[in-house]
Formats: sequence, C-alpha cells, structure tokens
Amino acid sequence: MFSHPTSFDDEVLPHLDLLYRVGLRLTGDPAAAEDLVQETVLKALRAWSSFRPGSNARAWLVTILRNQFINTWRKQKRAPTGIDPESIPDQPDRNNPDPEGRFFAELVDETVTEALDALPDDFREVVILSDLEGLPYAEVAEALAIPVGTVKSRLFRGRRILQGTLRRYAEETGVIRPREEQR
Amino acid sequence: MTEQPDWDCRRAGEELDAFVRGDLPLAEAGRMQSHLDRCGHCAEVARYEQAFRDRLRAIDTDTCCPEALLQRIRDLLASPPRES
Repeated sequence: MFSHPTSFDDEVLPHLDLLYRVGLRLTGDPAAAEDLVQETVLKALRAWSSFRPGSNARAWLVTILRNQFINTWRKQKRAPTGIDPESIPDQPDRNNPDPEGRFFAELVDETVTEALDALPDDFREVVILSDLEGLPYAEVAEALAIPVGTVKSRLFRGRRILQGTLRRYAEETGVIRPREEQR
Repeated sequence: MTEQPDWDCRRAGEELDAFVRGDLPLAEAGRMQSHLDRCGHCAEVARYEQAFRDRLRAIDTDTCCPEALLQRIRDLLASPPRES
C-alpha cells in the first residue's frame, strides 16, 4: 500500500486556525465556521489519498473549505449586494481629505468586517485570503482555481470598493471630515 | 552593473500592491522605493494602501480555532467515520 511520507495530522492540523478564521469571515457566524472546518477536515480525510505529498496543503484545504461553503452555506444565506463592480473608479479619489489613510486605524473591527461582508463574493474571498490572511497571489489562485491575473484584478477592485465604503463611513461618523468645497 | 531605467508612475502603480505586501523581489522593491522617494503622489498612495492593508491584517489576528472544535477534530481523527 502506498504510504504518505507525511501524516494527515502533520499536514492539516497546523492550518486549523487559518481555516477557522476564513470560515468565520465567510459565514460571519462562529458556530457555522466550526461546522465548516469540521466538514472540511472530514472531506480532506476522505480525499487524503489524492493529496500529492509536497504540494501545498494550505491551498488544498482552503479549496475544500471554500467548496463546502459554496455548496452548503452560500446558497442559503447571501443575497446579491447591489454593488456594480463596473462602477468602481480605477484611481483613488484625489479629493480624499485623508490621503494617507490614517482613518483606517481608527475604525473598529466590526466596522471593517461589516464592510467586508457587503462585498460581492468574488471580491470578498480574494480579499479575505490575500489581505486578511496574507496568502501569496499564487496560493490564492490555486485555492480558488483562477489565474493569478484574475486574483490581482479582483483584489484591486475589492480593495477599491472596501476603501470607498470605509471612507464614506469614516466621513459620516466624523472620523474624518470631508474636505471643504473648493471655491 | 547596468543602470536600470527608473520606474514611471504607471509602472509603480502596477506593482504597488505587491510592494505593500512585501512580495516584490529585492531589486524591484529598490526601484519602487527610489520612485517613491522622488514622487510625492505615489508615496502618498503607497502610504494609503499600506494603512489599509495594515488595518485588514489586524482583523482576527488573535482568533484561533476554538478548543471544543479542536477536541472534536482530534476525536474524529482518532476514530474516523466509515465511508458512506
């Protein structure tokens, strides 16, 4: 019988924290995230014989978790967000009253995660993996089965939407004051 | 050693995200830095992107897999369910 040079435990257990955080961000619910991670481990266990030793276990696990999320969670919960990705400006706004983004550090987690939750799914998952978890482009591409160029463009647009949402929030709540109209 | 031409704003803009992530190879990061040293506008955009990225990275940094879940997974691995 073919035996793996590494054990399932060695490959999978180190990534449970990351899987739980990604699950939490995707579902927005700790109990749902726990179920998602448990199902992911179970699926990974069943598929372990197809895992190629030396390949990227983290990307492999994220793929399983994300597929599980799409199949069981996403269809029941998320509604379209109403954001038209085509309406996103390509350039940051030059009238930004806080051009160095100091206000970002003032925002509480709930504000940021709420804005993140409102992103369209394609952008949201890329931002979660790439910006929150710090996975390299290539690994995000592998986990989501999309080209690296697509990762970059979705990340770019997702960040623009999120930045716009957070800045509007910061202005509305007085964290930053809009620049006075030029006369 | 051959002198590399300086990056313009367009080129710097393309690589800004990779630079902010720390994913640019050393030589390219150096060229980005020298562009940022010369270009106040790109330097400002870079600081904005860095502040944004730092904020996102700070989410959930202390969040770990709950102990109860870890225990369930250990139990699962100790006696895996039979294939259905």
